[in-house]
Amino acid sequence: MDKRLSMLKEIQALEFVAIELNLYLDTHPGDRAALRDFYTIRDKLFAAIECYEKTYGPLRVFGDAPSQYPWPWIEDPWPWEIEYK
Amino acid sequence: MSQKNPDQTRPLKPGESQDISQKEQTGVEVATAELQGIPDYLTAGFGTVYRLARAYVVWQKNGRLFSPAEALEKGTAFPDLYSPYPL
Repeated sequence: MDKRLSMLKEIQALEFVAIELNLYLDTHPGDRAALRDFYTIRDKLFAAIECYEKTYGPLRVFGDAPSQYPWPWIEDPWPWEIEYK
Repeated sequence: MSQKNPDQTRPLKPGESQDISQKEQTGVEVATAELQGIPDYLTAGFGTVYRLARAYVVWQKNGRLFSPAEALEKGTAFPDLYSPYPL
């Protein structure tokens, strides 16, 4: 379970930095370094999400998780049931 | 709302003092009389016309970023925005 948690935490961290850079770029659209950072973070984020979805099931209902039977979207744990401590 | 005295809200010219009434404030009647034309949000009920606070935002420079895990824990990816003190 903790492998799953560490992947989730990594995805959250990457997404947080992506949003931070997004906000920064809104006011500094010409900043090349920030742009480069943003695109590398975004690629890392997508790779992390895809890897998670392939092993543990969908993070996004229309994401890249492999099609499964039965419908995996309603399986446990639900987001608020995950203990991150 | 049409302002009887639109001048009140124009920016002050250099050297012009904020305090509209030069006369000594003797009593409430005088104070309220002078306030007739001035919108209340400007006088904040104290008679002297106060200019609203002027905010300023320093232009942020890009620099080193925190690592993702550290950024999530510290609440920002930018070291110069990070303040450990509860503001």
